[in-house]
Amino acid sequence: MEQKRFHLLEKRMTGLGEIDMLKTLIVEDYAIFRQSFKERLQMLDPSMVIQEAATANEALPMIPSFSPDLIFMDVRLPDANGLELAKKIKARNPNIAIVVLTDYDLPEYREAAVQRGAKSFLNKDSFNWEEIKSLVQSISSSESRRGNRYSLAS
Amino acid sequence: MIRNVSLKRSLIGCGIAVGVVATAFLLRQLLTGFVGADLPTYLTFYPAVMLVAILAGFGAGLLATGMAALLAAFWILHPQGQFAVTRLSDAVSLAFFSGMGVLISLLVELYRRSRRKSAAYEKELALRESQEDLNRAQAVAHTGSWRLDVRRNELVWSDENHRIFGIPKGTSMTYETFLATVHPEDREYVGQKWTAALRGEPYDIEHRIVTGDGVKWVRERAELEFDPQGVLRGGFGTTQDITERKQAEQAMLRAKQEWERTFDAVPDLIAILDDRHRILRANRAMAQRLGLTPAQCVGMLCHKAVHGLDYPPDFCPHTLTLADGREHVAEVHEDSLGGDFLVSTTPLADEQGRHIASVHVARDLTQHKLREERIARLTKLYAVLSRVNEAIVRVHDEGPLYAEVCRIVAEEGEFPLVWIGQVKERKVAPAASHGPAADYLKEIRVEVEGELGHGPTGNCIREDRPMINDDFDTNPSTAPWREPALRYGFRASAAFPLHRQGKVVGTLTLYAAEPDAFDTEQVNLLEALCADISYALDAIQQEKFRAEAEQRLRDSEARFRLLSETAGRLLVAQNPQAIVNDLCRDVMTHLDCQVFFNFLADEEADRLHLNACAGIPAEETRKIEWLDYGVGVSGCVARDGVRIIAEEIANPPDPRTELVKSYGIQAYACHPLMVQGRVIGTLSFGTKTRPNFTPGELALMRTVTDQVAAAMERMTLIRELQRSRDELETRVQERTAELGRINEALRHLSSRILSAQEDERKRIAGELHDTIGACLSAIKFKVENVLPQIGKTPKAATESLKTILPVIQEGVEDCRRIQMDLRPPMLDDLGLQATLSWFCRRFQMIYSEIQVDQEIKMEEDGVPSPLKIVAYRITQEAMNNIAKHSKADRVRLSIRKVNRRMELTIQDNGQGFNPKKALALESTRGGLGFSSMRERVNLSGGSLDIESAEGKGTIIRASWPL
Repeated sequence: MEQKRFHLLEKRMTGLGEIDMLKTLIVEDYAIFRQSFKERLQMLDPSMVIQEAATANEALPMIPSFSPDLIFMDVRLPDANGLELAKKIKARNPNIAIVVLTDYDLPEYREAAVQRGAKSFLNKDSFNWEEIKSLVQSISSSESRRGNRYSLAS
Repeated sequence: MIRNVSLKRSLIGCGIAVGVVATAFLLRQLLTGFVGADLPTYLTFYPAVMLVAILAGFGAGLLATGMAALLAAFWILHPQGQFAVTRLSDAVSLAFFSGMGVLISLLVELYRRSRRKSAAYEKELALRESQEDLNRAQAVAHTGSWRLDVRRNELVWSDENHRIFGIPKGTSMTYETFLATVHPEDREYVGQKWTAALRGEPYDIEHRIVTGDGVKWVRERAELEFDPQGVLRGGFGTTQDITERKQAEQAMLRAKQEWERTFDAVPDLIAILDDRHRILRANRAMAQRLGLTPAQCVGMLCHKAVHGLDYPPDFCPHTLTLADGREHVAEVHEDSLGGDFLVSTTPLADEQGRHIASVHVARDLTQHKLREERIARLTKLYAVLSRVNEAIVRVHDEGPLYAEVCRIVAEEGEFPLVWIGQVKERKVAPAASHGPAADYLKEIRVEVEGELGHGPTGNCIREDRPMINDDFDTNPSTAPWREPALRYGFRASAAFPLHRQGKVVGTLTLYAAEPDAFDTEQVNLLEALCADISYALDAIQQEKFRAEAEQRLRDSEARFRLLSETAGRLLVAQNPQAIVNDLCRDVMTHLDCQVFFNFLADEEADRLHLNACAGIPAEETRKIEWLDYGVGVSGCVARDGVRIIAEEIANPPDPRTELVKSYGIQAYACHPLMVQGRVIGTLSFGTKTRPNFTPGELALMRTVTDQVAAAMERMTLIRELQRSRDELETRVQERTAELGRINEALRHLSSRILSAQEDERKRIAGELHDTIGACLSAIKFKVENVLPQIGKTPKAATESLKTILPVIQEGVEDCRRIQMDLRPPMLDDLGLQATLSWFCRRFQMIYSEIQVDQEIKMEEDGVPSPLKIVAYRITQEAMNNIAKHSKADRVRLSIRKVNRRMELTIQDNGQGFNPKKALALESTRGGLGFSSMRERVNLSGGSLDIESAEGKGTIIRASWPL
């Protein structure tokens, strides 16, 4: 119900023309990393709408209004555990794809991220942009997302 | 009715008037021939008027006058019969004639009236007189009367009636007024009777009334009249004042009753006999003696009723009195009446002096005779009592006193046997006896209880009161002794308790040849006698006590002196054991003992050691130097802690006293030396001169023993105090040393912590220098090299920059690794399980020869956050130890929840170690860091347990409450 309301609200605000634009939220406390990551994402998909949040407290209120399709979530946030936050968001909004960012490319992290419903897992130090590109493409062309939108619009 | 009467009378008057006037007129007419017609008319009619007035009164006179006037006017003045008063003279004459007639009538009437009045007065006078006569008569007869007229509603009382009832004349009388004066107790009766009288029954009653003069008795009689319908019309009654008669009657009754009471009260048997020996009257005593009531006696023949004879007996004094009319006396024995009587007969004469009866008085002499006998016996007993009292004063010993008492009572009291029995356990043993039948006691036994204890003597002792056996022949409780008692000629017996200090100690038992020999007074006297004997016994005893008390006082003074000396010596003695010898010798002498032994317990030898002794040869002393517990008297006392007193040792064989008996000891007492409930030895004394100790001697021994024990206890306490002070000292020293050690360990620990901290810093510094520092230096060098190339050869510069990236990556990884080593962020990001899993994986990678098994059976959420780092550090430390020291090839790591505790176990199959030695080693230096592990666990509220043995592997188990 809640989600439906968010979508109706968003439809009014953005209009139908913006339907295909992918909306992305970056939750990361380290500003330099966040900024460069955002720039690179924008370069990858200029139509993408990107918003940023430095903390969990900043991020959570944005989700209903912004209704992102994709969230990049740092594991370590000053006010929360990113994994737990991801789990919480996923429980309410199963359609949002969440990508967990971490400093350690360890199987324990990977497993923990997947357990909490994350779509993917990226090591901040060693990820590859091709990976992200295919991820974004797969999300924007997702039938479920599209179908969902149209069904809500009609 | 009343009107009818006057009418009748008027008619009669009219008739008379008409008749007389007519007669007078006729007479005149008849007489006219003789006297002529000129006869004046008044001569004709005045007498007639007068006669009529006399006969029928004034009214008739007037009528007669009127008629005469008419006749005169019609017939006499004018014989033609017509009214012709024509002349005035005629009219005047007629008027005068009429007036005279009226006057005559009037006069006659006046006369009649006066006559009538005087007649009524006469009658009334007569009535009054008769009334007064009646009143006087009533007053004299004390009889009043009353009359009731229901129609007139009138109750009239005579004067006497008023006087009797004390109600003033003139009071309006009703039945209620009368009833109010009736005595309250009689009111109901009077009411009933009056009600009955109203029903027609005769009313003649006697009852009391209450008047101002007090209570009176009256007799009331009444006759009531009723109309044919039975309704009360009225009545007449009389009231007779019968108070005096009644009082006289009552006085007479009282006198009669008094006389009868007196007659009946006389204890002598009195009968009034007529000349044919018939009983006219008998008093109660007489009747009772005959078993009859006085009324039943009346009419019986005296000789039949009293003596059972059909004719008067020879000695009958009444026969003599009848013969000579004088008083006669005879002494008569009559068994059927139970004894001897003194009989007197006194003649009774009638008014003419004829002898018609006798007063027959029989006085019972039986009691009198018995009393005489009793007095004789009592006198004898008084003599006995006084002789016994003399003996009491004279004799001061129990045995002789008993013998003397028995002798006196038997001889003076003339009893066949008298004996005094003493209570000895269950038996009553004769202490003294006297009398011709004294052998009887050899044949019988008396006890306090049982079959032989329920005779007079036994009962007397048990119940502490005199017991009288009235007849051996019939008393069932004397059955066990009946045959011998009767054989010895006893019929009665009595037993009296003898007391000493208020307690029954024996009896005085007496026997008599006659049944019922002991009467109350004798018993009282014998009781008094026994009280005197008891008093004497008390006096003898008291004298004995006094002498004993004096002796005891002397003894106890000596004992006190001895004890105080002993106590003083013991108190100053440093070693009481040493002075026991001297001390016991003094006590021994005082107690008239010849032997003493003092054994002391030797704890190490678990035997008794002879400390001091006296009175036996030296070689004997050596024999008993050591004594086992339970052997001999002292051994038993030491074993049981209870004193043993052996007296009359010569008699009963007892294995314990064999030894002392062999020394010729007759009495022996051994007391334990008790200190705080523990036996520390024994002290015993023995005498060869007598078979018993007195309680005082035993008490002294006991006191000396206690004093010695107390002195020894004091020494023991002093030694114990010394020892405990020393112990305390040692413990303080030990504690101080321990504290020093702990302090040292603490110092060592903190220095170890400090050095560990320094080592860690040194290691981190070195690592930072070697890794990140080196990396950054290399980057800086490379960037500096690239910078000048950027403008000139951009392509080469780009390539050069690319080569920097791996270096940076290396630096980043180094940084991550260092961070992981310092504190794995994973613990906070992912939790304990993931971290341990990561740690084990890495451990496995490094130490591939050691196989690691993980067993984690706990939810991540169940682990309290503060414990996560502790558990991780313990695991890290333990695993590092295993890798470094254990030579194990298998490690098992487990985290479980056990009994509300979290339990972390790291187990290896390595060479193991001795945990004690390892910890001891650690507290000084080196070691495996167990103490820091333990410290960590303890600080976080858990406990650490290390199980290991050389060659047996190691289990480290840390657990925390949840």
